[in-house]
Amino acid sequence: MESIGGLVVYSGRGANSSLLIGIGNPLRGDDGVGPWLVETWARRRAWREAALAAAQGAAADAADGVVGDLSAGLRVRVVDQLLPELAEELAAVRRVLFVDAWRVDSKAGAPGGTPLQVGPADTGPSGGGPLGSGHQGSGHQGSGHHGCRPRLLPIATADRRDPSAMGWGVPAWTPGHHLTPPVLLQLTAGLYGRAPAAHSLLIPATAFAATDPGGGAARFSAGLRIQLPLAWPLLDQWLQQGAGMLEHPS
Amino acid sequence: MTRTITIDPVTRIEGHARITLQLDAGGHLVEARFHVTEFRGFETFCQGRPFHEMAAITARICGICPVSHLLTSARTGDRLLAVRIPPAAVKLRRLLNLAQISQSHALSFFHLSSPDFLLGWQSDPQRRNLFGLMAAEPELARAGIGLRQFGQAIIERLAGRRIHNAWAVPGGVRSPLALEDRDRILAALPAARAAAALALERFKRLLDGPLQRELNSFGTFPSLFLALVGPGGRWEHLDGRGDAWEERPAAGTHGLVQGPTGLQAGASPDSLAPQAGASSFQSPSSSGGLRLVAADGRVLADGLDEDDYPTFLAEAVEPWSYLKFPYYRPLGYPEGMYRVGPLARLNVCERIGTPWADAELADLRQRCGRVALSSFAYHQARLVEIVACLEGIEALLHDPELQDPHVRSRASLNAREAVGVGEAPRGTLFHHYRVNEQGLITRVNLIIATGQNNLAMNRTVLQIARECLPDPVPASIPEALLNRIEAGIRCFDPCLSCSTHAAGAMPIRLELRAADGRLLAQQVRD
Repeated sequence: MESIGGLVVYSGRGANSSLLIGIGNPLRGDDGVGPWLVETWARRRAWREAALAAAQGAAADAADGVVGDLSAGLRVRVVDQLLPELAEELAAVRRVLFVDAWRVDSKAGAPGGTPLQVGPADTGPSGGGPLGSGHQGSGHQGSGHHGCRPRLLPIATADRRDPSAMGWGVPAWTPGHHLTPPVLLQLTAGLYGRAPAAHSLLIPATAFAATDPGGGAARFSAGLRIQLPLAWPLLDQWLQQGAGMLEHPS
Repeated sequence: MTRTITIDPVTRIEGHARITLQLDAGGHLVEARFHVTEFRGFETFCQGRPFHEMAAITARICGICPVSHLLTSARTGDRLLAVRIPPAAVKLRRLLNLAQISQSHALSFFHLSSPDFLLGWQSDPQRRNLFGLMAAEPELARAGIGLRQFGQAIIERLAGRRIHNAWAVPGGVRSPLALEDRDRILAALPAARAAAALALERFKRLLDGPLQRELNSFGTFPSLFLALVGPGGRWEHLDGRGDAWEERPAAGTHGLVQGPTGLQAGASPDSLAPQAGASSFQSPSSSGGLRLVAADGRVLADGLDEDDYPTFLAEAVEPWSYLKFPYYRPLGYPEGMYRVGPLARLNVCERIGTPWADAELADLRQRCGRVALSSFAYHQARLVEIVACLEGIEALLHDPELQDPHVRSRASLNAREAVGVGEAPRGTLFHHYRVNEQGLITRVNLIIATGQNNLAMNRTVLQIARECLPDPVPASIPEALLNRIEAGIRCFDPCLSCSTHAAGAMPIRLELRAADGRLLAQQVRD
């Protein structure tokens, strides 16, 4: 896929093209979990592919301005925040996963608000229930911090058609430069006539003080580190479910 | 009883700010102020860091202008090393800056400002945004996204990531541009050019029609203009003298109209008549560097050296804003008000030097005169500069020297103090470092483009408020009028995160206050 300039026409790797987006600031503690998770996954995948390519005597494909461009038609991108420019890229894939930190209130022991970038998508009418085992209902409910686990949630298609009906608790268009996933998806559909099937993988997070981004997973809060092993199976679950995803009707 | 009207915060800009309009007892407008309400003190926490880290550190001032700080800081580092950076590195840095300017201008024009033009000042504020633009002008909305994507992808291809990269370093850059990446950028150029052409065609039609009034009267006032120019007074964006800085005369020996002794605080404005060393547009003699032009087109100072900036720039402080007020020192404060940024760059240069951009510059000058005084003309200037960037990018990509793998010169610390200057999308940017013998930073001064426009932004708000508001000002002001006042600030595309060295986004609040500070009325828009 050629992702720069102009109005993209996808010329990539077939019907199973997918985009994995890690959202967050690596300098701000748990907020960096989205980028860390997808980068770590991409590195591991790249090592496996390189080993396989070496074994087969073939060169692995070069990355195309993204963290990884994997042979299964999966592209990986990390962003500090969602910007309108991503609409062009979203329009070119069949499905997308937004991986993000989900702010929970560690003192009260319960989710304290909406995810940093992603909303309570499980409330959407067509998405069905969340795929994560720790689902406790909407993003504003839950049985306490210990019961608040990583979640894999569909972003309902209806949410994309009418931002006023999203119930995200944020304006459809925030006055700054960044967007929420459903708003970005709606922008994508509006501008390009299509948008991918979308999910969010939300990881409960509590600590957002400045940290050393080079510290690996050790820089995350103890609560988040406990949750990380639960996030990997959800990511794998999404990766394996590609064929079953519905494409958003334009 | 006097009253104060407050617009807080100002929307669709980068950072936190509010506007207050001061009314007298009769309800007549007497003063307008643009307050910047955030502060980070970046200069202080840079102290003690190795100078070679400064490019990566200062790039994190905000997420909008990291490239500008990266490049200016690397430039300052070059001067601490006293190295001539390899020609390929010069060109790669220039390529990066052109990409940064084009994508930043696209953000300002398409995402932040064009909803005002295309949907109308009176339109529903809930729809006066990119979504409204998408519904009304989908082709233009796609063009804006495409142009943003184009510039950002170049940054990513060169530097590895779109923001907060550390690719430029003292002595050059970390890596060359891969041939494959060059070809991909070239392949994307036609679509970017088409997007720019579409925006220009659409905007000029509006300037001929419904926006004619704004072009004539929106923040229109005399001021000075400051920007870099290249040799012969050509439009410049990175370093007015290319990489040949060590071939320049010693600091303080040329450029200032007052001569080598520099300019003293409180110098008489009379001394600013063109003198030896000054040039005119009719007889360009500039070898490049910083140029200061008056509202009537006189070149007041030319070839100014960044090393001498304390002699011609000073910064005032007001208790009601965290943003300083730089001014041209010889004229004093606040008479030394000057503007920087795309309009200033086009006002001070003789020409851009590429055919399409020069044709668009001629159109701007035909509409606004040789020196455009309307702050509203910043919008057209951004589009002209986008064209200049696209043509510049294309020329650089066809330059075989760009592929030279030698992109970094290495040296140890050779100077204890240096100033770097560059043109950020929003205007001229200065970095000034002092280091100790170990190369650790002992003092930093950053003079940011938005700060340099502070006096002009305040004047613009006042002028628009006088133009738009009824006299006396009623207690309830229609939203559309508030939006026009805000839009005066957006002409400058301010980045307050950089200029106060912070981050955020902003709704709007308007307050009417009595002389004793009592809140009489309030309007809030989240």
